[in-house]
Amino acid sequence: MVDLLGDYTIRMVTIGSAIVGGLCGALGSFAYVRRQSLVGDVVGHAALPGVALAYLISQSKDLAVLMLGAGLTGLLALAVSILAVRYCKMDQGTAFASVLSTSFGVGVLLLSLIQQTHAADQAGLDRFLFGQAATLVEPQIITMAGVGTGALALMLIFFRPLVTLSFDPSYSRSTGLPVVGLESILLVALVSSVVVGISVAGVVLVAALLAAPAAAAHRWCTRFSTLVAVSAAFGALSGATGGFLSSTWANVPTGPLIILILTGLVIVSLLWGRRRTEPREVPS
Amino acid sequence: MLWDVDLDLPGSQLTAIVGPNGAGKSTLVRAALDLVPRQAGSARFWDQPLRDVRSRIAFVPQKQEVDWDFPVTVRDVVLMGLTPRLGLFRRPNGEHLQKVDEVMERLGLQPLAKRPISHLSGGQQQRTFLARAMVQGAELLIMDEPFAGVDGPTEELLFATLQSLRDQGHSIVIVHHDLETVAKNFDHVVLLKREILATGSPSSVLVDSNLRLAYG
Repeated sequence: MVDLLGDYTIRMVTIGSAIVGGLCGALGSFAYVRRQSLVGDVVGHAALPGVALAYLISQSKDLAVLMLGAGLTGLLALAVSILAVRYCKMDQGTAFASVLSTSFGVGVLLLSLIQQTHAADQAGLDRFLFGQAATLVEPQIITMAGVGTGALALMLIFFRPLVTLSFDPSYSRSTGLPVVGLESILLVALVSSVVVGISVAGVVLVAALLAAPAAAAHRWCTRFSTLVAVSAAFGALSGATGGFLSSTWANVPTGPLIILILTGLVIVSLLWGRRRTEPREVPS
Repeated sequence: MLWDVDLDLPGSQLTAIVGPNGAGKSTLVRAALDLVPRQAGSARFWDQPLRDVRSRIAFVPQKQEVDWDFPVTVRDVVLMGLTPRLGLFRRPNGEHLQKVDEVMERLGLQPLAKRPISHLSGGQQQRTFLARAMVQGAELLIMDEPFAGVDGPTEELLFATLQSLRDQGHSIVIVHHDLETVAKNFDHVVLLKREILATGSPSSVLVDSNLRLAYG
């Protein structure tokens, strides 16, 4: 194991996947308790046209540039869905589903366009579909860690008001908390974690990185702060394991492997987690 | 939908807003607190606009508005009542925490402090919500259906607590559905059905002619 971690590729994939898993696990807790896990799916799918556009405009495959493009289209898609719900009275599921598939369609179109015109050069872009961490190099890991640290810092600085807002929006507004500002901060942090996540898990699977660790952690935790920590730990652990296995054992893509490990964790937690869903008999 | 609401509520009294389902009781208090949009009109508290006095008002939303499966303990929820005092960045100090303990003691919540809110009875949920509001130390308490799904003993405890808050000078406005408990427990009643039908003391408002207008 120590020897294997001495190998550059294996080390990079393992570290990169652990960062992604931990980050998405932490931020995903907020999406989970707000019953907004689909937000990850929308932003993930909408990141694809962003990656393609960023490449078309800059002609560069620098991860920071592609992530910026992904983040911008992710935020745009989220804004469109939220506006459709608020002003067109569209059902949230319908809005999310339409925006998600439309932006994914645009992304696939752009990718095939790039493939036809820049044939030799685009090889790196389709790894954003299902995620392939094997090509990660150190500067990319540093970019991912930088963005991730920013997102985590936002979450930690505003932790208390964000929890209050997530638990009870009406009450939070009545106390004069800056609700719109806090919602925006949370969305930016969430989008950042999705954008970091797609380089390992791909745009299709990244939603599971947000939802699964929190769903598993909820079975073991009664307080939100613990849930965030446990969820981040589950994510990082699954990420590291999946990253390590995918780069040592056969040539399997990293994203799907991490997701399968997470699914295993969810099943174990559902079966043996100590928190039961039915209320206990309690004296009043 | 509400119209022509022109209402002036007395201070330091226990006021009930009653009316049939769909009368707009919740809408009235939510519009006053800027939680739902208003087409027209304004609400003033102590002759000042809401934004200047938010910290003097505590709101208790309907119980079903929150997810009771949310991973927090009773004490966590009560601590959220410190939000207006702490703002975005400050952390609770010893004095704040003492206030939290006092309020929880008063409402009999201390033994439940570490219990996850998913394991509470209806009455315990309402006591937790009231405790969160009391921690704010607000002068005006606005509660939306705090007695829904509450057992008898809890109802008595809630009324006793609210009445002693009133005796200390607090004003309390409650959206209420149970006419039978109004006369005994409230000082002032507003009868609502899309507009104000009557307002005043329980004995003057709850007369047959008014009730027929509202419920008939």
